[in-house]
Amino acid sequence: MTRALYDRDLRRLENEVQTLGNMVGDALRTSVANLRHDDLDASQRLMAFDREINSRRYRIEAEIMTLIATQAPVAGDIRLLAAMLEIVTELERMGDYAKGIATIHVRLAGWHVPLDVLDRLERMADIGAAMLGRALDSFEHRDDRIAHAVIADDDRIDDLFNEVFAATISGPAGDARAIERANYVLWLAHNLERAADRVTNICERVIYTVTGQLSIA
Amino acid sequence: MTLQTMAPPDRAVAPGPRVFDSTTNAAAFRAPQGEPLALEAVGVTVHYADFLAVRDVGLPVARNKITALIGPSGCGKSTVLRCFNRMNDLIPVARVSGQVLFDGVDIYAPDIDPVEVRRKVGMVFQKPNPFPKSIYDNVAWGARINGYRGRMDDLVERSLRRAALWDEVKDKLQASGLSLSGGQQQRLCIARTIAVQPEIVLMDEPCSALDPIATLRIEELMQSLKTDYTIVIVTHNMQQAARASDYTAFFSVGEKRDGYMVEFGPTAELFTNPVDPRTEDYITGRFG
Repeated sequence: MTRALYDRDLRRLENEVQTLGNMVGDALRTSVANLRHDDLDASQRLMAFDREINSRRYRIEAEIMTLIATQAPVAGDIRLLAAMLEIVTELERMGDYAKGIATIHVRLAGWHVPLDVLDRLERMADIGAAMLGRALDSFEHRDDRIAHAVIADDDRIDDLFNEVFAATISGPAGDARAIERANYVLWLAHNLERAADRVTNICERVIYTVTGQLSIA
Repeated sequence: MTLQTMAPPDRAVAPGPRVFDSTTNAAAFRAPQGEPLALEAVGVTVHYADFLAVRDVGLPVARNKITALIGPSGCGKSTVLRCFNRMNDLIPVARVSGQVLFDGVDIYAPDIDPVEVRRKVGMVFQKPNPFPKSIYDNVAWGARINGYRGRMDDLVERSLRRAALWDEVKDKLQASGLSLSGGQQQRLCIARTIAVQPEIVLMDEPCSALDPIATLRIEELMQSLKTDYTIVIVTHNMQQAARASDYTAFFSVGEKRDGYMVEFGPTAELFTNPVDPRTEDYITGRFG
């Protein structure tokens, strides 16, 4: 095999993307678990953890740019590198959503999210993190069928978001404090809904890596 | 006079179904869509004595486009290039079968004059090879022996301008062509080639003896020339094929050292999403 060093760099970068993905999935689940347990210290730590996610993303991006500049990648290699550039961007934004949830938790300052809403937020986080896990598997195994299936799962997240929206918007009108809290709750759900959208973007990049097709049918 | 008018009507062969090599995946052939062809190889096989050099090549060459032939040494890409202007005729043991269609006429038909073919299909070689004559005479030579009747000074200037060399040599047209740098010599050879007003310019690794800057100048020149000419280039430099060409044909070599075409398609697609794994392995540098 020629290009052994180049191949080693590509595999190492893929591993780093997987590691970053696992960190982001954990952050997403943890952000809602902290709400459940009302663990403000843990949410503070999660907010700080976002810096680690960001720095890993930029390190991977810099290494990808170096490989593009020095190795003249083509064909499957350039698709892989271009996909990883997008994937780490999506992962970093997902990390921002987890941080956003932690920030709202801190701002809620001891007010508890209604249990029925919290259940749904937790399911959104679980489904979103599971979608991410399967997206990362599809990337590792270059399996575009899994990626397509994950994209279809996004509907479940959208349904849960709509349920949270309906439950929250029907709260007491005219109460400024209640409106503020309802707004925060919608932001919690919005962050989780957007995180799942980012997973579908990752899946589209997996499909591109495998098939060379940029848009999905 | 065109080759078309030289050929009797029964020699005019319409482009038929392409002959695919048994080792070529049909999906790995992405034909030019809606583009007229300047040339087409149909089932071209070349032997050197008993040695099968390249087999069953079906290769379209789109007009006013740049087609690159790439592949490892011995894959037959230069052999195929030489078929396009019957340069293989000059190798006594070479035997060509199949058809090379130029405006629908097989240039290997018995009544076709190879000299006329080479006037319509010019060639630029790997090593710049100006004649040991003045810059002016290098350009004027081909036109003179073809009985050019126009103003020779104009033709020389026009050809040198077209080859992006005029500004560098206009004050020393009587200097020897050999006094120029390698890159200038290659552009002089291009000026010499286009001075006889061919329709197609074949280039056999035209930059392999040049430095990177001179190489980029030739590539830019190719882009400007393709408005008037069709270019086919053989190159070992895959980045050059990726940068400079519109279509790419990838050739490989079989166990008996026989060359064959593996894949053909638009360069942008072949270099981002090749169909055949052998193409992927070669262009990503995982060959051999």
